[in-house]
Amino acid sequence: MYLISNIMRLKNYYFVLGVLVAIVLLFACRKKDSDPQGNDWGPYNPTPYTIDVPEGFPEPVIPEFNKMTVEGVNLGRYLYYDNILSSNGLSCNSCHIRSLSFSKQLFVTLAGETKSIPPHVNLAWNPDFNWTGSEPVLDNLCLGDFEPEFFNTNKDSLFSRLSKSSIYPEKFYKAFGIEDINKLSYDELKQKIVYAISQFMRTMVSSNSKYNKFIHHQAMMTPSEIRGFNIFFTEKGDCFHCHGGDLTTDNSFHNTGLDANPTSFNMGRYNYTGNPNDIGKFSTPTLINIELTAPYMHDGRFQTLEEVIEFYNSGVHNTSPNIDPIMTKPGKEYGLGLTPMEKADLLNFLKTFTDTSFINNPAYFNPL
Amino acid sequence: MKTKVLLIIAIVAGVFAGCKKEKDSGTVNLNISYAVDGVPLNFDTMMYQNAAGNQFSVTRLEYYISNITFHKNDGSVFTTNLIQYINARTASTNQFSFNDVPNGNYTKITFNIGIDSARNYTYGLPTTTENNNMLWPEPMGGGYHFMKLEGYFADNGSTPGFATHIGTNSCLVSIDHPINFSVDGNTYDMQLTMNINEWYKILRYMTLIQTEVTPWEI
Repeated sequence: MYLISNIMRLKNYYFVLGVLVAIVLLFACRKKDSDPQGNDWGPYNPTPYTIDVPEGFPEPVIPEFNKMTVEGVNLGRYLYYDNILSSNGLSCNSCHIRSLSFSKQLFVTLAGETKSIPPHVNLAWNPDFNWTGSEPVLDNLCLGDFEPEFFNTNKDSLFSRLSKSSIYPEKFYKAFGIEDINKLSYDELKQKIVYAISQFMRTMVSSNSKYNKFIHHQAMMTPSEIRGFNIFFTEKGDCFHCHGGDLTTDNSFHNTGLDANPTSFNMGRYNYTGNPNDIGKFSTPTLINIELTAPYMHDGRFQTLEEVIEFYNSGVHNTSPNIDPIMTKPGKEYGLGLTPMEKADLLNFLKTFTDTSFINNPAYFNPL
Repeated sequence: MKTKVLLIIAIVAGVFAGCKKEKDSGTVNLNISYAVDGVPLNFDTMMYQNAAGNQFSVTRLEYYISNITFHKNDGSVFTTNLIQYINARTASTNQFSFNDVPNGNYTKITFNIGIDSARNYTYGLPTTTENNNMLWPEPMGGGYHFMKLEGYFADNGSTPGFATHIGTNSCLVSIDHPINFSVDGNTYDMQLTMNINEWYKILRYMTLIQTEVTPWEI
């Protein structure tokens, strides 16, 4: 009697033990990092991405709240080329075309203003953005792209497309630790999209133009290009005061005498600051790849570089309010006085700002 | 017994005397301000007049100050090889300090506006945005702008711009000016005032107004 009950207790014991072990094993298996779909993406551990700062460049401006990672840059590259973000078929590269140094011709705003599209190059060194410098933070700038004027994004469609995509849930997880896109608010989702795209844009660094190499004694120029360089970098042309250095921009604001009496959009930075001293001032654009980024000036009024040269040579409106003192130095009252050969030399020099390796860099290719 | 007490007192006094150590050097805080013949400089304001009678405004004043040296009568000096970029519009660049200035009486200050020839070459300074924007073109001699002073002036109804830029080694500006202050282990504030009009007079470039040298107790 005692023996039988003991054996039965033993069997029960093993049975219960077996069940317990099974339960523990079941929970142990389910305890891995996984998303709602049950994929195993591993731990959230993004790899820092450090910009290789070219010789002569200052330190880039990287905000603390959006440090660059390999996974963030990758997600940004996909999103940059993807019309998944818009309801009208547009994506960033609709207006920022790689072969044109990520610019295009013109953009006409809903308000009817014609604006020249800036290229996406060396943006990590910009202290502010837009022709008037109205936005100091790249990540905030891109938030505007969801608006009807650009992507006309549909909120429900965006959530649905991204979360059902075969690639984006994993990319959002690996870049930002997001396990379920649908759990974000609309603002949070837009912010993360913009963070990723900004990270990708900050990787667009150009330092291999013939000009950049020449000033570090690593490339040669033709005699015509050197004559043009000497016009650009002396008081003959005086271009260097705003367009000098490795970045070819001082990243400041100047009135170059485009209009004698600027109105509306042509009043430039004044429209943003309200400071009368800013009337007619626009941000100094980069000249990198300038050969590719026609038309020129804030409103694209000049179709060719020849027209730009002729403007500076003879078309400057000396009486424009706040015209930069550099423009009206003694001897410049009647323009630069360039001969046809000097204009041709200057044009040849401007073409040395072209960086073919930049527009052909596979790191910027469309991955879709 | 008495001698023992005296000895103890002496030792204790000696220990306390040792704790209250005299500092053999002090700190000088330098602040630079700007005026036009005594009138404080406000940017973008057409209210100043030079010796030629031109009314003018100032829109930009950036420069390098370097090799600031305090001289004593016996010829000994306190010097630094600091090259300081200054933007007159940016308060923080106009204030800097010198620690460990040896005690004594100083009777002269000397410094350069610009960068001495040993260090004035392209990319010789750290590649900050400010330094890069001051680069002086290689075809014109290379190195850096020593100073950019720009603005507008009134001329028969119009207001053309002026741009006074200084560069190249032969144009290094040297200032030599008497001062009279003593360092005695404390902290002192020294004010230098640049008189803009002095740039447009022959020979003399800058008048210093030493308005306050106030020692602090530490």
